[in-house]
Amino acid sequence: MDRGNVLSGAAFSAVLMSALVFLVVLITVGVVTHGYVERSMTEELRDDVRTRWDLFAADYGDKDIAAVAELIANATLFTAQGRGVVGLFDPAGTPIAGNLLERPHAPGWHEAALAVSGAATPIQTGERDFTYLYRSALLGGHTLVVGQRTDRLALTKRATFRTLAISGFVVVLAMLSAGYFFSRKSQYKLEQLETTLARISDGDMSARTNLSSDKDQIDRIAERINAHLDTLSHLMVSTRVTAAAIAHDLKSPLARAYLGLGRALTQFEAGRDPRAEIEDTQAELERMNGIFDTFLRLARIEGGADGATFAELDLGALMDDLAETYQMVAEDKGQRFVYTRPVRESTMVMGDATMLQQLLVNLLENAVTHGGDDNRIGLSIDHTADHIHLIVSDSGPGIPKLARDAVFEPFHRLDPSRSKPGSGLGLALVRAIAERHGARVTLSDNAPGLRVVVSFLRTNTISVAL
Amino acid sequence: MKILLAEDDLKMAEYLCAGLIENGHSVDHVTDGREALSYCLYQTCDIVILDRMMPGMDGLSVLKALRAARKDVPVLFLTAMGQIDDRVEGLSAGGDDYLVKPFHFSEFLARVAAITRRKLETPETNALDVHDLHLDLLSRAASRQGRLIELHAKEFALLEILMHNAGRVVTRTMLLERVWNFNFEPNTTVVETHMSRLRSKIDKPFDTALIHTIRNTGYSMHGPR
Repeated sequence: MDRGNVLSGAAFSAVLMSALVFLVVLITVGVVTHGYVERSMTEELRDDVRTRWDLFAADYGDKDIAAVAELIANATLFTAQGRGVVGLFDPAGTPIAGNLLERPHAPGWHEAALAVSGAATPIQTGERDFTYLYRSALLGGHTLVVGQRTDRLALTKRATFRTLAISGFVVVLAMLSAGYFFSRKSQYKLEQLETTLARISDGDMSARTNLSSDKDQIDRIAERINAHLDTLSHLMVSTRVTAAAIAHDLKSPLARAYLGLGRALTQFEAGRDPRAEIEDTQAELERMNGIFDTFLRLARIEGGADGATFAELDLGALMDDLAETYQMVAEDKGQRFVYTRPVRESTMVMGDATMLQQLLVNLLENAVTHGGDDNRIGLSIDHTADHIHLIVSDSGPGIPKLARDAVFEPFHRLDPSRSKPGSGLGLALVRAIAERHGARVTLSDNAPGLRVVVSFLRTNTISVAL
Repeated sequence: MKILLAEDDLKMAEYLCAGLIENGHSVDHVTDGREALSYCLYQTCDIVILDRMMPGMDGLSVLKALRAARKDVPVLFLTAMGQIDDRVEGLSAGGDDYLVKPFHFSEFLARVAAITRRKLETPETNALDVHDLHLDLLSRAASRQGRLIELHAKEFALLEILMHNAGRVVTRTMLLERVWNFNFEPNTTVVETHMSRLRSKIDKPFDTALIHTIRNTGYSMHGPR
């Protein structure tokens, strides 16, 4: 796997961005915290120094300077190792008590290095003296200086900074590793997808992408692509089957026409009348043309390029018209035709009149053609809450349950000898038209015979749905 | 009749020209849409037969240009595209009829005759008469020799077209288109069944038959000749 691809992957980029944001936030928080800690610690130190200064000065109020000097001399815990500094100087600047060696120049609050006896040299800074925050003020002509070492402040500041820096580094490192891991995972999946698509374009229609159990976006896309490939390969197979079926169905009449013309020529050369053979040939060519026309119509309806004009139309009126026609056709063949015209319920559907006419004609012609002798053809309409069901039934041999899906495939014919008229496109056309109208076609047993139900959505339902 | 045939398929044009000339027409043949248009604009003819797909300019554009120039010469479209929308498109652009390839020559001839006659026709009549058969178009009643004949809707429509075209051939396809509005060939004997019913009412009870079958083409209605 190419590392560059992983690092440019969406997961890694997202993590990188978040890491950058995190760092910016961390630095901001660090600066703010640093300022706050410094301020509050300085404040605390200052309070402490003020309190001690007042403590030492309090003794001067009721006693004399010697008492202050004695108090200072006793405050060994405070001055131990120069942690605290205290100094009492006479008006001439000579130290009287305390560990401070020199009187600072100016009175007031200061933060500066002081020379203190008994203090170790600061290791960290390398300076000669420690830095103190101190208060120098007059005490009845004398000067009292009290201060505290500030290196604890610096130490705390440094510790805070170090903690923030280390945790920031660890978090960013963890984020980047996680990002790399996820990016690598996505990259792997994408590469798999790419391989699958490459195999497909090389003609291997069986190639599919393995799905992981993550169910993430890429998995969902892969799942969709797999489903599309399934549909596509199914379509390719059926297209191949259809192409073969067209070839077969067109070749038979072509072969007969060929022979017919040959026969006609022979008859003519023998001085006989070739008319019968020529007419047979014409009939065969017409058959071929019929198949072409129907197939073209089917392809255009399935492709949606049929120029259909959808409008609200009365299915009942269409049925009336065709019922009259096919009643005669059926009776002419000694079959019974029972048309139950809907009386009260509305039979309005959204549709294209020409297509629906074709649908009805195909169903009625099938019923007449395949019904057999004692056939009883039924044409009726049934209503449910949302649907209008168009029902065409016959009492012929019907269609076996297992073949009921296959009969909708173009060129599928139950009778392999193809002795009955028809192109094998009738039901395919019925289904294509129904689907174009959002209707469903179901075949069932009419016991005996076949019952075809085409279920249309009622127009009011459609207008609501739109 | 003088006919302009605009067709780029030379073999097809050769057959059609030969057939039309045999039937007593004179034919001019062009192979290009633009030629067809300029012919119609500067010369006269009784009917134009236009192929839909032609080099230079397609048939539909030629027709539109013709109608825009107020030339109302009858136009018969020939096409390999047989779908409904093509048909509607051709007719609504001002075409008089539409014939889908392949077709029988007799069908072609019948259509040519029908549309040229349609143009010359006198306006609406209320009744049609052929020999002793009378059809009242307003009351939708048929009678022969004074005997009233009851007809179903489709039978009436069939009879009306036959009588309207009395003496001429009406093809099966024309009947399917005009009586049933079918633009496809049904597998069953729709036309034949209805025609035989009609005959049993119009012809059978009487001495002379008026409806005559024209083999492989269609029907013609005429009295005894």
